Amino acid sequence: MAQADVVRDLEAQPASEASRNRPWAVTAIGLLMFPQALILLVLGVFYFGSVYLLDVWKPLSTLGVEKLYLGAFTNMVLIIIFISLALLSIMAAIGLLRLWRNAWTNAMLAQGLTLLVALILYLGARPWYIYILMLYSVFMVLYLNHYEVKMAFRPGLRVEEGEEAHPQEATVEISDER
Amino acid sequence: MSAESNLTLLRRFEPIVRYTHGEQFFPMDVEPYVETCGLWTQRLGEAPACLIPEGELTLSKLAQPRADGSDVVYFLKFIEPMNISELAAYQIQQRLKPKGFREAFHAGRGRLARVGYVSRLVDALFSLTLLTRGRVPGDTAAAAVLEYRNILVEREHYTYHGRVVRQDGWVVLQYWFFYPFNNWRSGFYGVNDHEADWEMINIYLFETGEGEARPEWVAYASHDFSGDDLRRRWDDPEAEKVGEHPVIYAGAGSHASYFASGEYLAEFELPYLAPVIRILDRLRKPVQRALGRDQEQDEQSTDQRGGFNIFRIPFVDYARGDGLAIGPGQDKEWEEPRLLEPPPAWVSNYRGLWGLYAHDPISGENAPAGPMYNRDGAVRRAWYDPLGWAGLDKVPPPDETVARLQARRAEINARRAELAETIAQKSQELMGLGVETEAMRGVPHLKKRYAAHQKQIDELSDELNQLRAKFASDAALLEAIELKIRRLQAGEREPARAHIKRAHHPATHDELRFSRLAETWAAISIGLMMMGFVTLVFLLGGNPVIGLVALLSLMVFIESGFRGQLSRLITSATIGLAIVSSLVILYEFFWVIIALLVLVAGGYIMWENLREL
Repeated sequence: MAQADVVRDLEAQPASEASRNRPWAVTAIGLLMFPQALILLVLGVFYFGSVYLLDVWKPLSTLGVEKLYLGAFTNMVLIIIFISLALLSIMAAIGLLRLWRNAWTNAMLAQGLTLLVALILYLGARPWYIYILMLYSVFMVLYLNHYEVKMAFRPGLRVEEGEEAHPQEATVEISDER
Repeated sequence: MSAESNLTLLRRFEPIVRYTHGEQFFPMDVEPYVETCGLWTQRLGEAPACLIPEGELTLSKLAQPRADGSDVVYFLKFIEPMNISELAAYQIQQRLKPKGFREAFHAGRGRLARVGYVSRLVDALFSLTLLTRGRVPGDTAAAAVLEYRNILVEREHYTYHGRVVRQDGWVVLQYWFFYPFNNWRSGFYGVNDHEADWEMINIYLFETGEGEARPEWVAYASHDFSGDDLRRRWDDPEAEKVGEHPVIYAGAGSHASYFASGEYLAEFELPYLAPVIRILDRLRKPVQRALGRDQEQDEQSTDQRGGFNIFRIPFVDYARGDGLAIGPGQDKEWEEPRLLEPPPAWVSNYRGLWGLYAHDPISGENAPAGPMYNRDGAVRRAWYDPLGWAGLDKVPPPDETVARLQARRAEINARRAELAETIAQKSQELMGLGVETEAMRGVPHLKKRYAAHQKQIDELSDELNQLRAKFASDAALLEAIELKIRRLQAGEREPARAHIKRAHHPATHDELRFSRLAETWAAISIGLMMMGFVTLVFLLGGNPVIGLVALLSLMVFIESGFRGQLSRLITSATIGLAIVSSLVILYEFFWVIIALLVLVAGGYIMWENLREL
């Protein structure tokens, strides 16, 4: 069976079938992406409130959150960034749970962009939540590079349970002199 | 053996050389070349001086010994560069002339599209340095074409120079091809141009018991390979043959010899970047291991790995074989070869360069020396040790292998017998020491002697251990030798390519499959980057860093997209950012982290100890 067919079959599997083939490590990391998405969504909503919903936001300033106000323009940019990252994280989480082919790359992209934003904010205003984002993303990056997770998304080695990989699918192709 | 029998052998196995469309220089006899040249000298700090003007030089004059000191460079000068009007007339004539099937050359997919930014930047700098190095003027190549054509008009011929050497049971047929000019750079977008070019291949024969000469190996000289990697066994499918004639695919302009037709990506190393290149080569594996890519890299061929050293400049050697073919039964036949064994005086006495000395510190544009010598005057290894040059100094001819294995077996058996005796003797000694030491145990006035005996026992025990290990290892070796002898006697052979560590393969169809857009991007990217850099500095004044980082990031992103390496880029960048973020967290919360670690460690220790109760 060609590699493309295996991948297509896996992607076409109903969720229950995909979950039977999914290593527990992939399930865990897929689920862990949802809280991250939630944090990003909350931040996005928070900054949206700070720009467009002042009546809602102002009372929160008594809790000391006014330090998170970074300026109108910056806040507007952050709305777009955090909402986009939240959506990307949700897509990546769903992809991980469904074992989509590009899910691992998307998840890494989500972590990379989150870290980039956090580092840029670190060089600037340093709002306190950036450390939470950094810690969470670093942990996620480490986990995404766990052997079991990587192998689950490596082309050519993803097989259905009970089947052996077709020799042509494997990326391993060592001739005697190479 | 006589010159006649050597000639017969050479002709029997003479190779077929297939050239690329557009190739303009072919192997010729040295004599008409030398008669067209002048002999010049160059002393350090002085202008070049003509010793023998062109038209008056002969092979015998070239062979005359000269002793002008160690700071003199002798060189032949084949042609005078054209002046501007001559060059213009020549180029117009070339454009108007209908190109025959064999003359047309079209470069394949751009070499720059196959490599990354740093390689392209180094390539751009290399091109600029040609202006300052002693580059062979472009008009020289055109003049060389005309001069070579005049030689062919007088007498069209295609010749090689042959040599038969007997070494350690092997018979080596050495074929030297002399070209009047190497126009790889000006004709085929390669590394260099230089007057004169010597190329060589070897065929290794062994003589059977019946006196028959049987070929076993063939080796082609190559830019970037050496030793075992140069040779192919005669029955290797990669060593293409027509009857008993090996087929060589010659690189266009470079005339390098290849086993298979195709386009070869070669890397050129700038001498002053060599230390950086070596460091990068050494760092690559640990970094790949850290990123978890070492297994992927092992699975790819050398040519496929994206890890061409970024400080080496990529060039393409076009060995397509779609042009003229010279050899038995081909478009053109070889003339009677000129023998080089015993070496004629013009080979052994003349150590100078066979073409223009271009004062190139990198040596790429300087002409080569002759078949016997390197440019520095030292004798070439391929000349004095053709076996070792191809890694065959450790390989006996096939008909001797079994006898040599049997001799080694006898030696090892004798060694084992001696070892067994020594082991038995030392074992007895050790046991004697052992019982003596036991007797001394607990006797106070023999304490010192007891300690000395213990030490002796330890030393003797170690020695015995090593001897027994060697004995066991020799047993395993004997077993392997026995098995090998049985297999050889049964007619089995090792895989033909078992000796090859790194084979040079032409670029695959996938690697050549770059879109026109990707090629265009590769061609303009470095120039665009430089213009963008200058523009940003002017626009952003004293703080262009962020703009430059953004520009570089954008270009890297586009590049990765074209090369199908976006995923790799994302992974590497994310890991890098994670490392930086970890350092930031460590810096900001150092004492908090320490406190937490201590708390966790304390809790763990408490838990472990409580579990024991």
